Amino acid sequence: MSNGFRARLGSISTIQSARSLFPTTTVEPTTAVTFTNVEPNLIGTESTYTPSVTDSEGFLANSGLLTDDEVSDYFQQPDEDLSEMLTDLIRHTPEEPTSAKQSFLDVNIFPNPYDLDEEEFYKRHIEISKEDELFHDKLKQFFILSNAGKPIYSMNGSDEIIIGYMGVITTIISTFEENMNEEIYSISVGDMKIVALNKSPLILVSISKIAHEQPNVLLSQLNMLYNYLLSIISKPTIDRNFHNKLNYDLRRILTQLDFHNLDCLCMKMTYGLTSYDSFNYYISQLLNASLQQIKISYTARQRLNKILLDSKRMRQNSDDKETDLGADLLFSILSVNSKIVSFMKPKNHNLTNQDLTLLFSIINSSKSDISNDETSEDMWFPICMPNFNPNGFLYVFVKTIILQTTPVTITLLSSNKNSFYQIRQISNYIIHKLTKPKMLSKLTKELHESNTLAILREVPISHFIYKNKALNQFVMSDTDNSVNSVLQLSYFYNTLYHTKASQMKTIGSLNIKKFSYTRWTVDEAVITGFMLSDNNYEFYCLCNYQINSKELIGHCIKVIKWCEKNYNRLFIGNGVSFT
Amino acid sequence: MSYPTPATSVKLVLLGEAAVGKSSLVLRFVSNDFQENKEPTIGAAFLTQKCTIGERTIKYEIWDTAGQERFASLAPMYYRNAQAAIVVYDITKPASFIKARHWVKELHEQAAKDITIALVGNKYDLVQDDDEGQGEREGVRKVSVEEGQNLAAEEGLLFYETSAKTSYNVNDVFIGIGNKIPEAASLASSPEQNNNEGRIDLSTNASSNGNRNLCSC
Repeated sequence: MSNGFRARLGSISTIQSARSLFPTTTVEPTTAVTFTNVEPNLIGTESTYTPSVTDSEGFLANSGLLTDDEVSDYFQQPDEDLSEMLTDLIRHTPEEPTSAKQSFLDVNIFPNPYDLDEEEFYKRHIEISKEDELFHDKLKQFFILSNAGKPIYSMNGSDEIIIGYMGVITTIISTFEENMNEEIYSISVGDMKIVALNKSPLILVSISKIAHEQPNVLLSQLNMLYNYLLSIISKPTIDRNFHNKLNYDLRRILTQLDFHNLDCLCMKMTYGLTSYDSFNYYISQLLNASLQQIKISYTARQRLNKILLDSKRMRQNSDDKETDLGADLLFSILSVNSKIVSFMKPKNHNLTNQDLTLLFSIINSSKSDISNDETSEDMWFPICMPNFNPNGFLYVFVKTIILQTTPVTITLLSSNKNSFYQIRQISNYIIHKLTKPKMLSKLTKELHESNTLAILREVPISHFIYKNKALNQFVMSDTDNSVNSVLQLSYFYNTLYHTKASQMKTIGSLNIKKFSYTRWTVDEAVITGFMLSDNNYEFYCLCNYQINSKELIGHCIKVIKWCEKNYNRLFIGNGVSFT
Repeated sequence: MSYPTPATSVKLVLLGEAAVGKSSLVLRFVSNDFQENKEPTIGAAFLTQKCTIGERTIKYEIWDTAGQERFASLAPMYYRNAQAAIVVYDITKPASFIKARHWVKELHEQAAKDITIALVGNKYDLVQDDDEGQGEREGVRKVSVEEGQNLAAEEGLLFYETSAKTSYNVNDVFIGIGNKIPEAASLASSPEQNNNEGRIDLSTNASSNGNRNLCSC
């Protein structure tokens, strides 16, 4: 089982290492299209995920593979192949945009045995609760415990109720370790999946009753929680404490804020709730730790990059001695609501997307209360970036300034804990440059407009995601962050994502395109989901009515072309490097 | 007075156990604002606020440090060059008063000799009776005024009981510190940061890369 991770009903699977799990995040087409012209290119691999047809009455999902030729034909002759294929797949009914917003419960994302209304359902099954009463009703559980079985964190429930389970978990894990020399395993029982991650001296466990959450997704969530712990305490500190005392209680060095952050992470990873950046975070994780981007003109981005580079080179003369202010500065980030606008790094080092996402989560958790420019506070705290160096700390300077109405966050990472005043001077320089009248008016105008992607005015697509595969960065249209929308959107995109074919079969040098079409019928309303991808991009979109196939693909290609044309405006690429 | 005197910069650090209200005191002083259930500080936050005392203008450069044990090893960096410190405890939490004693001791041993320290018992609003009178609610207060006063007298500290929530006595703390800081001691600093920044000696701490253990356990 080196490269497969199969969840079977009532089965236990073990694998050798966590690494082998990650490449196989995708799942097979629900229904393969078998047209004579595409058949040779269809790849028949096992399906591990089948969106249950009972989910919604009119559920229909189709996907298929096309060769480059076929799609390029389409590109040249819009009436050909692809649209015809779609025509056969899509039932035509009069187009009528959905006006009334349906509830996430109507979409049947989750089973609703007690027939609760939205609010009751959220309270009973979703919302984090440390009370024991609703413990068994929760759809999702996360536990962090020590090898010795000491509870460190639980998403729900009190110590009293979880302590017994901790015992069971450690027993099972040690049995596997000792008798089978196996490390990680997952268990699935009916709709419930249990996944454990053994990071001795810590054990992390997740239990999910959510149908669309697969074991590999659960495992990457556990890794995220583990990375959070590393980021605040670092590997050596964890090891040392447990080395000295097997029975060590890690809670002693975790703070209220840490438990709060773990709660937030659990909700974000599972549901894309509950803060303003949670849904972006969810999509970012769904797309394999992809980084969300913000649209800004190329020249503006170049100017911001230059400001960051110039600030790194700042020197200061005092008492005949020249000090290199930026000597300890490693990374500089300008961001708006956790979306990076400009990024500077050393030539030979980088921060992984996971580390950046983690950094933003931590920064957001202690948002500055004082937003007045004059008196805004500067934050300075240590952080371990697990993929950069799990053994040491970097020191982070964070300052948020409000440009007109847009909050711009300056994040500077230094290798020296005593470099605060130097880093602060660098930050002052950056602020000075950003607030120069010309820069300020250009930047605020652009940032203000960045939320509304112009292309959406030309097409009837209600929501889309475009991911550049080489950069692992994505752009997404604006989302209303209500619980209802977020739960539905995350479910739709999850289904679309997992309904696509798992691998691209390259015949010769052909760039094979894949597509997948899904429709949900909820009461009277219809949601159409469409995915198109090739070697360079993945495109997902949702349309809130039943759209003519020819039209739909035409619109999608229009948006994709627009994204390609706006490459420099949409993506930061690799940022700027200093040597 | 035709010209305002240039502001003197005073570096000030807040120390004390977690959740005694350090950030709330700063928020009250800087923005005259209060928030219930404020998020804990991570690491430290740096703020500046000008304060006019008589004819002097003092520019406070405030280090609001995190109270959690995990960050304790960072504290020396903040108080090393400080001219003033506010050690905060919660008058309803005896343990926080013990912690305050430790901070005062550490400051006397490690910080600058002439540092001005104010001992502040916060959360006075919790013991205050709802009726405007002078009375106090029974059983809520766990650290008496005398205990605070005695510690302050022994160690030569300024002493206040405050409420960041009602703003009771908050400004007085900063004015009291300003009054006690001798004019000469606060070096006539240049209008901007440069001189101050220059005072941090980089070379002695240049080796701070690599392993850094935050936990003091």
